Amino acid sequence: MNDLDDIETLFRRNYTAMHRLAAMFLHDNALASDVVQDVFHTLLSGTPSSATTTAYLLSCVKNRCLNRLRDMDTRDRIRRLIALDAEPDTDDMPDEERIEAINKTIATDLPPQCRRVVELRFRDGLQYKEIAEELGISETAVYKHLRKGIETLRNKMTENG
Amino acid sequence: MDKTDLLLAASEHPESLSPEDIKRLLSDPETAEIYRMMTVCATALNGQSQTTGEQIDREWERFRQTATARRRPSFFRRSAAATITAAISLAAVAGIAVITTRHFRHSDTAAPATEVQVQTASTQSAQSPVIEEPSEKAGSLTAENKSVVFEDETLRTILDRIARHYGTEIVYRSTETGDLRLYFRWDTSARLEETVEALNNFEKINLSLDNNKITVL
Repeated sequence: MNDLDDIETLFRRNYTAMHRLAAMFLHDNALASDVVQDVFHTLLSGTPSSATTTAYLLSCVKNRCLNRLRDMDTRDRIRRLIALDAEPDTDDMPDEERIEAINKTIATDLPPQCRRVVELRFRDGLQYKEIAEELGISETAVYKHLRKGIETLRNKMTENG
Repeated sequence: MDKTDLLLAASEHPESLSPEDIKRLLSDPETAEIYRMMTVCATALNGQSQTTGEQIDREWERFRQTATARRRPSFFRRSAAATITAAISLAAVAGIAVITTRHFRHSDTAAPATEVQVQTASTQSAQSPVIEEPSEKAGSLTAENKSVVFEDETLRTILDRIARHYGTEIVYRSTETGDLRLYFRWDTSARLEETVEALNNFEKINLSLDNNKITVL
């Protein structure tokens, strides 16, 4: 069993990267936190800390995320905007360059309110009603912003390949 | 409705569609392409999320507490067993409650023959909370009874999911309670009040529901 102090060092050093990867797979902050917790729980009884590298921890996160995705049904996936393929594939994960390009498009090509709506729906997984309350607009307006956001992004992304 | 509209509606209200409906919707290449773009955007935006030092502190504390609990195996096992027993009897009660309402609803309109059918189906599902074979995956929706099973999940995870479904807010007065792990079968067709009541049946959980806001005491 590992010393809790060693685990704490690993935890603090790697938490951000692990949580980020899990959130990218699961599109859900709370679930991502749980995955990271689970990975560290397995360390309690497993591998010695000295052999535990960031790469190893990230691959544990990845495997656990893939398991979670495998267990998610179609409705859950479409609600969280996750690819519907029965066997989730890591190749689906866009590379860092692509991610940066998409975030840049969202930040620069969408009008501010539209961008906020897209973020609240796509990143924070809020429902229309919650977004409407958060921004003090109607649900119809939320819907229109999303529609516009998707159309703009689609045009931009086809332009840029 | 065009393709974007359909996708927006489907991802906002997937419960109104069957898995087959969703598959059919996405069998259209253009719809699939738009959806794919939406998933990639969601991934990219989630990749922006930064964890603050405060969040890491909180998560470490949460880990440390469960880790030390697990180091005392006899204590942990006993309390886990108690939780599971409570959960199973609860699940059975919840099952019966659902059946009763369903039965009533049906009896308003349906012919007697249907009622009998409903009754038989209900008896089966009342017995079904499986004890020996917890084959259902955590948090998965089963087609027949629309119940979600959380297996060894934290109350926080369960409440997040429930809050999203009912569109409620959660306030934590006690952070420890959020870290309790439990087995809970949630009937997604139950009203919010019923769900909160079912969770309150756990000895260590005390939730209050006021004005569409759940407070964890």
